[in-house]
Amino acid sequence: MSDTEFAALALRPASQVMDLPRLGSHFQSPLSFVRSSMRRMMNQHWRIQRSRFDLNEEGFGTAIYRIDTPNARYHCVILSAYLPPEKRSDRVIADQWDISFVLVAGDLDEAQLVDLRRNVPLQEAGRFDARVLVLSRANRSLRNFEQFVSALAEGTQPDPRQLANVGYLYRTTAVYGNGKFGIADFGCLQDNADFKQPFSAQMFAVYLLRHFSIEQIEHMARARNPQRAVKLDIALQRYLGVGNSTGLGMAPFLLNHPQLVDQWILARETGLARVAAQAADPVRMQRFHQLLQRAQLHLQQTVTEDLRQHEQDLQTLVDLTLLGDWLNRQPASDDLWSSLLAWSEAHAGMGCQELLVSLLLELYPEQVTPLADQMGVLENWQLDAQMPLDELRELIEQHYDWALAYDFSDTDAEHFFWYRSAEKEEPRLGMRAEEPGAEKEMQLGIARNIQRCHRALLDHLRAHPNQLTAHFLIAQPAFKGTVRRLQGMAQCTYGEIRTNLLARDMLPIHLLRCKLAFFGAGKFDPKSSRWVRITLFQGAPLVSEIGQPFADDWNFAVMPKGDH
Amino acid sequence: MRVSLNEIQVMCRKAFEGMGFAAGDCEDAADMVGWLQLQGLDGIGALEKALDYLQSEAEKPFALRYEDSVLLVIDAKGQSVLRCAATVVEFALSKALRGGQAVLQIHQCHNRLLLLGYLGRVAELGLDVQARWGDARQVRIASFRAGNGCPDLHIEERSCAEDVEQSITVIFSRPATPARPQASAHAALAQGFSVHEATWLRLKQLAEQVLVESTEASRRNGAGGGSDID
Repeated sequence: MSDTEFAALALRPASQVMDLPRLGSHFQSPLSFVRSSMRRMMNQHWRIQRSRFDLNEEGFGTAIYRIDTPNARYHCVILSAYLPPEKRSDRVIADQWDISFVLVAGDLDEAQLVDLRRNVPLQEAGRFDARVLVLSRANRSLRNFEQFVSALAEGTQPDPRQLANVGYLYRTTAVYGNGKFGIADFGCLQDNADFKQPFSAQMFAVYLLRHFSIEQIEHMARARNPQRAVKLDIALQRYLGVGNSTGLGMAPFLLNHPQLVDQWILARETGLARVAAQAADPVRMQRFHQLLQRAQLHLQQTVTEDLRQHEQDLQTLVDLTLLGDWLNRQPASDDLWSSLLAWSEAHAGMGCQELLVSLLLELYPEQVTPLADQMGVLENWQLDAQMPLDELRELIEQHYDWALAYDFSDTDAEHFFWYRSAEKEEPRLGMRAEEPGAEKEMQLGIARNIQRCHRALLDHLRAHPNQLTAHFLIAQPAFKGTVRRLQGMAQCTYGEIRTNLLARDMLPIHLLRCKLAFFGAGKFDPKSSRWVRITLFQGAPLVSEIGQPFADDWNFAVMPKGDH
Repeated sequence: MRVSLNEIQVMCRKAFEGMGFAAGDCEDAADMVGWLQLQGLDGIGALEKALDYLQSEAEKPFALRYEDSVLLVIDAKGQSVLRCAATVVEFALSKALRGGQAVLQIHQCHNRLLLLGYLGRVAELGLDVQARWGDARQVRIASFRAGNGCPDLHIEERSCAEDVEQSITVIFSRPATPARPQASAHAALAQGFSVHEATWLRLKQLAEQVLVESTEASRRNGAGGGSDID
């Protein structure tokens, strides 16, 4: 994106875009990581071949896939084992899973395989080296797994409604990259054309799990009933995704990597502004209506027991119908897309508004998908030590007015504290007035930090009106992190997520959804305000379809046959 | 044992947090240790030597003793440079970028070798940097060429033992010709980094000080409750 283009685009303001409930209303888009990963695989004709498949009739054993891209070779090693029922848990504190797997760079030798067999099932307790790019584990969806195997073994197809309710056979509970437990640092991938974009290696590993899950249940069905067993119908294979269960651990990531978040949001908003500047024509309008109908059906088929999410989904469906009606009354015009955005802001809830953004991003792929190559950023904080203190004060008051507006004399504003539990360092939320540990809280209260810094700065300025930022920080070193952050974020278009993460009415689920939508998640199914189950790759092309013509049109998957 | 750069940075950050470092200082100090390792220097080993000081001292602000457009004199009050020297290095850097040259003197400081991590990053930004510090018998000189974060290290023996102050002097200067940045050290990342298990364990114990003991209530509700049933 050139500076000239950037200046000319009408970007939505940060005050609107960085509002937490809005971020928590995002849907997947062409910029989501599963979408860009799939485009790379399809456009470059990656070859994925099974090189070992030693599974018994229960599906336990080892599977290995070899992957050849135009740039390199990789292997995915999947270990499947019996999981005692009492060990089954989605939480970080679990220590055993149905399957564990790794994505490894290069060729595999027997010695490495022996080492992997010993360490991969241990997950966090194992040790790895930089040949391993991704480490993950997953549990079976008990509901789907047995019914799918039984149906196939009987020579019938499972009921598609099962996949509409729970869209996967396996649910990952962590997908580790970037140096965890000795695996490759993200820096190792900076020159790797296949996986240099954030989370691309992790998303690819998840895609391989989806492929394995299909091959595994077909194998089990055959083993159970060799005469009658059938393969899973192709339409159901495509409708099958991979689940993921995500908790509070995702929230600190977003707060601790604001430059990366800024980059992601900037790409999305730039894409939107580019689309809004296009003149609508009948072909694009028809395409929009098709996308809208599919998204409505997808949302109708999204099942959640979470009341807040359910009500928001219902409201979004009502709004989408009104939006479609309004659009039907409009002729093609130069400013139709921006008018549609404006209509949604005036008449619809955030769910509809942000779903509209995702749909608009589909309309002009040539304007949008190149931005998917700009989702990475070299995170770098540079203190401006020479900045005069009155300038620093203005910076805070201009860019962090939202943070200064919170009233921290109200105990509800500091109701929660975030901490790491001694139990596998699981991130948790505690109530400050009732639970021990607040003195060890994680520094996620950005708004509170800004207020404290602002107050100390005003005091310092009164005594030393002509001093510089460095003088303030030499006298008050505790504010260095805050000052450096705010100086850096003031140069970003979007920057900070505008919320008080300590407030009683704060919903962490919004943070989780924002990040998961960038991953490409669908079927958001919150299990509480602090953890959520989602589905990835539902509707994506199959491994056997890599190399065939590809339209990049698989978002908002709907149940085969199209109705309930 | 071999560990990744990310593990070093995360472990050090938590350990510094466990020792009571302020936000900002934790990240600076941890990144600096990681940076030293990336340059082939023993950042973790140097940190191990510093831990005794760090754990016994209570943080107090450095004092600014003198300042003009070129010179910055700081009193660290007997603390480790890890505490908040990053800020004064940034301050001296900004003077050098503005005027072409700056001199930083930090008096009454410990763990001076670790300052090199900060200075290397300054060199990468395009300044020549030379640091001198010593003890009763030796003077150590570390020289960085602009654009290259890896220093030349030189030791001079003193002719007779001197009673010297625990200080370090750093000269920053803009080179006559612009610096050419050196290639980054990605190759080192793929090998991982060797650290002593005992040192790693010590850091882990410090890092554990930021953890909150689990209770049945926090186990049940702290991460969200809700049904885990499939």
